[in-house]
Amino acid sequence: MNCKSVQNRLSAYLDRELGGDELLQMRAHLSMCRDCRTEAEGLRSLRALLGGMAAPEPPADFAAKLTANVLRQKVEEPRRAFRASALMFAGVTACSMAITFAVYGMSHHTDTNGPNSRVLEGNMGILTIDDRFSNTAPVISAANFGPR
Amino acid sequence: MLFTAVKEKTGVVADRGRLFESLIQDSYKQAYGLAYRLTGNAAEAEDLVQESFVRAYRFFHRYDENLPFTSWLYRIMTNAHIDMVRRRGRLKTTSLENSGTDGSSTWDLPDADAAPDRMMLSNALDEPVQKALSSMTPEFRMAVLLADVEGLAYEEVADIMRTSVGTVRSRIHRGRKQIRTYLLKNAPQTYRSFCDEL
Repeated sequence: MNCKSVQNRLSAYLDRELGGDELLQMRAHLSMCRDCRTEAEGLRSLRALLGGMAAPEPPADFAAKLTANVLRQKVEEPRRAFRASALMFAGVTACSMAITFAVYGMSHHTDTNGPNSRVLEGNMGILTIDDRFSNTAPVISAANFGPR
Repeated sequence: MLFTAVKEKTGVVADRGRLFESLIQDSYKQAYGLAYRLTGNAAEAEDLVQESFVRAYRFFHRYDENLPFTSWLYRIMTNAHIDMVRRRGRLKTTSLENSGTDGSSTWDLPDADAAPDRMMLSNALDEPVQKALSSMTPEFRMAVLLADVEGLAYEEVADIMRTSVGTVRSRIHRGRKQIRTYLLKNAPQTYRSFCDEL
């Protein structure tokens, strides 16, 4: 390790942020090089100066003003929760629709017109769809229209 | 039912308010100290602290409780400070080149021979250090302050500044060298006396 690479690592060395071979090489170089030791001492002094500086004190009424101003703010609602609840709502709606249609279809399917016929029954009457001519358009006949 | 929902929501907001109030009480002094060093004056320090706490309160649902609150607050403060500096376009604090020329920013440094006490020397160096800090980019300033004043490890600084440890190492080293160069140029006698006292 030369002087330049040692001096670039001096802050990390003083802050005990080096380890392994890097640390050993730094120690070896510093034990032999007076210039780098002087540089290290200079940075050590500066570090002590910065670390020992008195912390500036806030004004006496600062905490009260700060608390009041901060707690007055409107709080952001979590977006993720909103997305999750929207997805949940869509899922539940889709499932209930599917179940409704399935139950509706099963309870109203009566096979009285032969294997090739389907009957759709609703409030307005019975709609019979004859699939015998399924290669072409189905024949649809309506009967008993109106309330039953 | 609606009444219950409103009551529950009000309760949650009140709980969050109480919790946040205690977090403010625990950390505002420390936050102010850092903000003062970042901005270089009391008025801007108050603004920066308030802006940081307001952002923290608004987005409190994003706070990860595994992280110390001050670390999260400092992360917010870093961004708020950079925003503040960029919004202004330049630092309001006096530039190094002009320091002392307008009479408003000169300092009466005590005679080092008359006051050889290290604490007094440190106090005398406070303003030159602040000027040196103010001349740096916000990223360098934040890295140096978090490491040297707050005493955080490089990894914590990197986490707060959302950068790599290598970048933090470089910023701290170069930042310190800038401050030392400034002190040797602008307050050489006091700074050398301080170093001798160590």
